[in-house]
Amino acid sequence: MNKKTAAMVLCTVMAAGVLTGCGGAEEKKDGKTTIKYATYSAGPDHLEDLDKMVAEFEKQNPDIKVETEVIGYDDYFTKLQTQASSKTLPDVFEMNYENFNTYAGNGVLLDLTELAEKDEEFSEDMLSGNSYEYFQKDGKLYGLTEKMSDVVMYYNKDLFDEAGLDYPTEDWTWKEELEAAQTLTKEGVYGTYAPVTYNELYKTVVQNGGALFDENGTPTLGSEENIEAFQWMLDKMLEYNVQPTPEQMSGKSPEDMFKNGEVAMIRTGSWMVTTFADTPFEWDIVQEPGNTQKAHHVFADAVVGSAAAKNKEAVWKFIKFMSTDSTAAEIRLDSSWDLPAVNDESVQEKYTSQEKPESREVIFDVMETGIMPPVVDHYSEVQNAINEELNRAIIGEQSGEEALQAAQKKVTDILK
Amino acid sequence: MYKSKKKIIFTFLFPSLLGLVVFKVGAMLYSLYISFTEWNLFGAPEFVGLKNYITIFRDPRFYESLKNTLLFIAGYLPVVLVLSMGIALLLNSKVKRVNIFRGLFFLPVITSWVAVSMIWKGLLNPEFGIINSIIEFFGGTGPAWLQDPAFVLPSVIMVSVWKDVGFLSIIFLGGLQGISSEYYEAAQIDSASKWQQFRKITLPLLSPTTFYALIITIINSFQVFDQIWIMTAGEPTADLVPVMVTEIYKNSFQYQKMGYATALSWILFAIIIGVTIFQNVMQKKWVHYE
Repeated sequence: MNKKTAAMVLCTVMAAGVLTGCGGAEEKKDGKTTIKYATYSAGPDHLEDLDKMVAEFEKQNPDIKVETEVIGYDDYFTKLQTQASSKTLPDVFEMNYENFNTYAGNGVLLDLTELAEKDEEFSEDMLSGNSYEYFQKDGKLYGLTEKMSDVVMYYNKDLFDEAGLDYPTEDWTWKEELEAAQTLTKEGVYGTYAPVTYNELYKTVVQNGGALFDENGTPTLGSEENIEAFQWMLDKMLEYNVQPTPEQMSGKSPEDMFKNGEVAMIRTGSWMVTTFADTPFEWDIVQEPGNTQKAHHVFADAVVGSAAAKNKEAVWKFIKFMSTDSTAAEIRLDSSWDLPAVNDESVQEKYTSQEKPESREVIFDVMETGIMPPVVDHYSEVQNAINEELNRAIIGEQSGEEALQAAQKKVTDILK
Repeated sequence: MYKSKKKIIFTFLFPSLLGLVVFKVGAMLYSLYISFTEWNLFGAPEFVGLKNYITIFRDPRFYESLKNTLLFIAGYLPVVLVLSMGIALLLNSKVKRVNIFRGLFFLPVITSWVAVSMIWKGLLNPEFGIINSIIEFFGGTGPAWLQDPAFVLPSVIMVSVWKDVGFLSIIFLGGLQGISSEYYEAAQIDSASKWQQFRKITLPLLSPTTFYALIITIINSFQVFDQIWIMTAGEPTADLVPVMVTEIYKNSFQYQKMGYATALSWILFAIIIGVTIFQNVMQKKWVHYE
C-alpha cells in the first residue's frame, strides 16, 4: 500500500468517525417497543418512586420498555424547546399548565382524542373534578392530568406559642396576618414570608378582587385593586419589615429560613410537606389569608405525547397509566409526591390520614378557591417584564403604583 | 512526491476542515439566515426581511445592554491591563520561588466561571460576606453589592479582573522574557533610571504583546456573560443590568425569539469585528516590531 492510499483510508475512517457522532441510531431490543419519558417533577426527591412506577408499568405491559430522563425544572423547558426544534422530542413527557398552550398551539403534541375514545378501559370520570379538561385545546385532548399541587400557608407553632398568639385560622385576612407577624417579629425572626414575584402577584391581586388580565387576555395590571395588593406585598417587607428584604435574606432560601425557625409563617407549595417533615419544631398548615376574598394557587401537571412518536398506542398506555393507575397513585401517595389526579375516594382518605402536618385536609380544601396561572402568549417574556418592574419597586427605585403602570405598558407592547 | 504535497496536506486536513465547515461556518451562515426570519423553534422559520434589525435599533433595551457592556469594558479593560502588566514585571524578577507566585496568580484562570461566581457571590454577601465584614472592621458600611443595581457592574468588574489577571500576566511575562537583556545593560551603562528603562525599552518592545492582550481582552469582554448571569441569579437585580449576551440568551432560550436573538448576535459580531479592524489600523501608531 503506498502512502497516498494509506492517507485516503485514514482520512475516510476519521471522517466517518466525525459523522457517526451525530446520527442517532434506532434501537429495538428483543421485539419490545421502547418509549422515552422525560420528567421534571421526579427530581431530586422522587427518583426511586419514578423507577417503581415504571417497573409497575412494564409489569403490566411486558412488550413496552420505558426509558426515563429526569431534567431539573429550570432547564426542562429550554431543553424541550430545543428538542422540539430538532424534532427529537421524547415520546412521552411531563407538561405543566403554564406551558401547555404554547406546545399545543404549535402542533408538537400528540392528539389523544381518538385514542381515548377507542380505549374501552378508559373513561373521563377516572380523573377527579374537572381535571380531564385542563389539557384540552380547541376541543382536542392532548394530555391527562397526572397530579396536582397547590400553595398553602405553613406556620411554626412553637414561635406562635412563645409569642402567646392563637394559631392562624381560615378566617384570617391580611389584617390579622400583619398583626400576628408584627408580634412574632423579633431579633432573628421575621413574622411572615411571601415571594414578591409575578407568580405570587397574580394570586395576591385576586385575593383583593383584582386580576392581572381580563377574560380576553388584555392586561389590566394598573387597576386600583392590583395596586393595593402589590403595595401590601411591598409594605410587609419595606414598611413594617415583618418580612425579610432580599438583602436581609442574603441568599438564603425562604424555605430554609422557615426550617431554621427564622420565619414564622410562609406561603409555599404543598410539595414542601416532605422537605419540612424533619424540622425540630411543631408546624401546621392553614388556608392563606385573603383580603376581600380567598384565592389559592393550584398547579396541574400532565403527561403528554409527542406528535412524532412512532408507537402511539404505547404512548397512550403510558399516559393513561401515569394518570389513572391505582398502583401509580399509591406510590405517589406513599411518598407525598403531590396529589394524584385519579378519581378515587380512598386516595383522599389515605392522603389526609398521614401524620404530619395535622391539617393535611387543607391541601384539598384550598382547591375550592384555587386559581390557575393566567394563560397568555409570550408567557416567559411577559413574566420577565413584570418581574423586572416588581424588582425595581423592591429596591426602592419606584413605587408600587409606578411599577404596575410601567409593567402594564411593557406587557401591552409585548402582546401587541 | 513534492508535486502532490498540497494534495497530501488537504487530505489530512479534510476531516477537521469538514467539521469546521459543517459545524462552524455552516452554523454561522444559517444563523445569518435565521436573523432575517421569525422563528420560535417550533415549525419552520418565517422570512421577515430586516424587521428584527429595525426592531432592535428601536428597542431601548438594546441601547441599555450596549451601554452596560461598554461600561463594563471601560471599567475592566484599563484595570486588568495595568494590573497584569505590573504583576508580570514583578514575576519577571529573579526572586527565589517565583514559580509559586506564578502558579498562584494563574490558579483563578483554570477555575470554572461557575465556581468563581458562586464563591464571590458568597464573599460579596452583604450580611455574611467577608468583604463587608472587612469594611465594617475599618468602620465603614459595605454596599449591597449584588442587590443594588448601581454596584452590580463594579462587583462583576472586580471579579473579572481577579479571574483574568493571571492569564494576561503570563502573556505579558512571556513578552518580557523575550526582551534581550542587552538593551538594559546598554541603558545601565548610559546611567538611565529604572523608569526611563521601562518607558523607553520595556514598553515599546512589549507593545506587540500588549496589542495581542488588548485585542483578546476586548473581544472577550464584549461577550461578558457567565459572571453577571450567575452572580445576579435570584437577586432582585437579575434583569436590571442587561448586557448584550444576556439579552441574546434571554431572547433565544427564554422568549423563543430566535430571529431577534440571532440578529442581536450578528450586531455584536459586527461591533467586535469593527473594533478589531480599527485596532489593527491603529497599531501602526504604537506597536513596534523588532
